[in-house]
Amino acid sequence: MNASGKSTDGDMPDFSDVESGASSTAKETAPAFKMYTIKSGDSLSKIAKREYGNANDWRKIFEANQDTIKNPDKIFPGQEIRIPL
Amino acid sequence: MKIMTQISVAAFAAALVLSATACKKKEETAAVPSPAPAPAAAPAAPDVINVPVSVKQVTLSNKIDEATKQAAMPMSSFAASDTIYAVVDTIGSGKTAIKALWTYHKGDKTAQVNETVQEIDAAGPASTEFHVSKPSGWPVGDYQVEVLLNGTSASVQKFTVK
Repeated sequence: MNASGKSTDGDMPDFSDVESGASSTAKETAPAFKMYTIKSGDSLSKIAKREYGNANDWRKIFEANQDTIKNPDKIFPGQEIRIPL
Repeated sequence: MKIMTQISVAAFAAALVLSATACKKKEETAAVPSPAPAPAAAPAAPDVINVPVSVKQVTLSNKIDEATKQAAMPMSSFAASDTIYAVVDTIGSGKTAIKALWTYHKGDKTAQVNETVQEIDAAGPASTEFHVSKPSGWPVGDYQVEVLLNGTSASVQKFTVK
């Protein structure tokens, strides 16, 4: 399995279309986010298109991961990133 | 007659002795008042504010009150089309990252369903909800959601989809 929700075991169901969210009665210090593991062939634009329906929202993902992504064109399979919800 | 007089005198004397003893006991009782009961110590109010955030309880449901984040009805079994909510009630204060890690279990195999994080700055008791849905429907089977506070496991709730 991986953090994207897709099992690497063919015997297990595919959870890649799971939608999620969170909210609190306490002060939220940042928008909720879900964790995603970069797969081969991914780009921030592709992920943004899949997650938000708009590839131009890649910057939203980039800004949420500036501690780990220095160049938006350089992401690596296996890298875990935050996807703001 | 003399015998009767003697018996009466003896009885009277005995009555006097008994009466005197009783009075003495009363006096003693009165002279030593029982100590006033100590005031009951006020129970210490649980300090739910100035302590680090901890999980009080996690409740699963398919519906919550959006304002209070409280579960409409605790559940442990869901339908394939349900949105599944995990309501995390916390106490304490401070900045905390609450993570809900949803997994599916089949035999000894595990598949990750979703991993969502909400960062909060709590100032006392709070309720934080996490929810997951699957437009194509949840596979029937066994699931669990693990709640972690700042990376440390705080609760595990198991549930099924039927």
